[in-house]
Amino acid sequence: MVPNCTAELNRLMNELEISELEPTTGVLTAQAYMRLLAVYLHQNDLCNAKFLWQRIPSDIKAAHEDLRRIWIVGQRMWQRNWPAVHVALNVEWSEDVKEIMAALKDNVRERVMRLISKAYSSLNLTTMATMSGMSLDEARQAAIDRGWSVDGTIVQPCKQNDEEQYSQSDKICLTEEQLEKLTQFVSFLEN
Amino acid sequence: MREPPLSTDGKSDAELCHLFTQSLVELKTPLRRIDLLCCAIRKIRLFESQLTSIHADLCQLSLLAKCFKPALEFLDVDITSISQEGGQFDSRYFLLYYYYGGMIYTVLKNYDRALYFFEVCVTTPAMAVSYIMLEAYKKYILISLILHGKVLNLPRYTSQVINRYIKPLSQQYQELATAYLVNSCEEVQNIITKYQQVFVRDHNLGLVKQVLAYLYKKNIQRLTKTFLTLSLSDVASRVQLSGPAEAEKYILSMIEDGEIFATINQKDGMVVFHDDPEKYNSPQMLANFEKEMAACTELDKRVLEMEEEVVLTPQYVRKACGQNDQDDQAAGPAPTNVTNAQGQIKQNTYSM
Repeated sequence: MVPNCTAELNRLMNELEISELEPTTGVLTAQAYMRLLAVYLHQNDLCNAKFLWQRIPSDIKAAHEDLRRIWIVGQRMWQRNWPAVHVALNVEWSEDVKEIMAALKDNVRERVMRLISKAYSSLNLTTMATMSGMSLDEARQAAIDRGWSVDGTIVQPCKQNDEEQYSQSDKICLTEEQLEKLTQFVSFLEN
Repeated sequence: MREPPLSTDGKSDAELCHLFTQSLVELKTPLRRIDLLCCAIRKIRLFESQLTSIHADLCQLSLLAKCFKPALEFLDVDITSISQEGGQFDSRYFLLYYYYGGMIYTVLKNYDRALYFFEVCVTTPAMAVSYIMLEAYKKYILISLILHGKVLNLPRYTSQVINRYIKPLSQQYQELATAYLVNSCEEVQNIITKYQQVFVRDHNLGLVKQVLAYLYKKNIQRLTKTFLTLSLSDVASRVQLSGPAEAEKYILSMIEDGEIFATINQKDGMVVFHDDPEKYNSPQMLANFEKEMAACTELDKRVLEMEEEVVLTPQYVRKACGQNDQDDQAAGPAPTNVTNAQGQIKQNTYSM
């Protein structure tokens, strides 16, 4: 995900949350609910998504099919039923949530791919395709792109190294700041 | 008797908030005014970590409205002091705050913090049985099972009331814990079926079911201690799951949550269990460590401050200096005793 986009979604979330608490309105419009629900899903904040769904007035739920469809995605995510998540995601979304849902889709796919690389030493190409919501050919291509070996219908993922990302971002603060912290600890222990 | 104006205000403000909450609950529009209560707390508390009786109201409204984010802002701050509110702070609000807070953390699946909140509620010094405490104790048992696989012993300062009255009153939950200890899903299921009505009445059935789900996970975790490789169908039969597919699903979600370390080989239908790959040598770990250290330093400072506050109260000085209460006011031996006590304090601070 581009961090820029995440920050923007965060801002959107805060705005919507505040306006929901606004006493004059109290109830949001269906569009706002849809967006907030989609943002929660994007952040994988399923608990808050669930309770948002529960507090949406039932007449709004009944009137807007898109809202119900977003929540179906949420339910499937809750069950971690990956093939079903992709089925639920693969519908035409209305303008209000189109972008967020597209981002959510990328997000889920990335998450599944990371999970596959972490959890499997070998798996069927069909399983991989259904889990990540791709066709067989796309899945094969994605596997090759990631440097996984594909042997007939068996894919052998390699472990992704997440650690490299950490060390690079943290290396900057390694020197002086850390020495200062160490001094603080020692002075605390001695006093 | 006239009270100082500030505390009178605090008291009537708090009372107003309680009534306000009450009417919102009755009108069934809890969501409408959550922000107003947040605002009231910010105004009435003297500093961030001070508990007011309105905190409990806010938590109650959050639960009713199913909207938790606003309350988290307050719940995430550890309480170090209680607002006096004209000497009228009712212990009920204290218990309610920790009980509701625990429930909020439970539904958000922050079980660590939930357990802490229930523990505070249960370990509050008490002479009589409180229903709030009883319910908190039931939930304490369930969360403890989910988190640790057993009921953690309560700290020694827990009041006698718990052992004497509350434990017998939560018999069904104790039985559940006993069944859980032998790791048999069947037995836990039996207990759940047997006492279903009790659990439904207590509104704990959902949590009880989660206890069962966690037992499956715990049993899988136990397998990792014995085996290096195992076929998926073996996992299923040992943990009493319906088949290899369900076992794979459980293992997959556990791997994602970092609860076990394993790789599945779908070609041979095998699972290979690994050790924890954390080597405690990454910068990330160091950062965590630093954060924890900072928190401990802060805590130590707080404890010292509070201790100083306590040792400076006249009651403490009188107690600490033995039986000379009567002589205290007189010019007799009191001064020497006082200096003694202060000497001790100083020693204490140095040794820490």
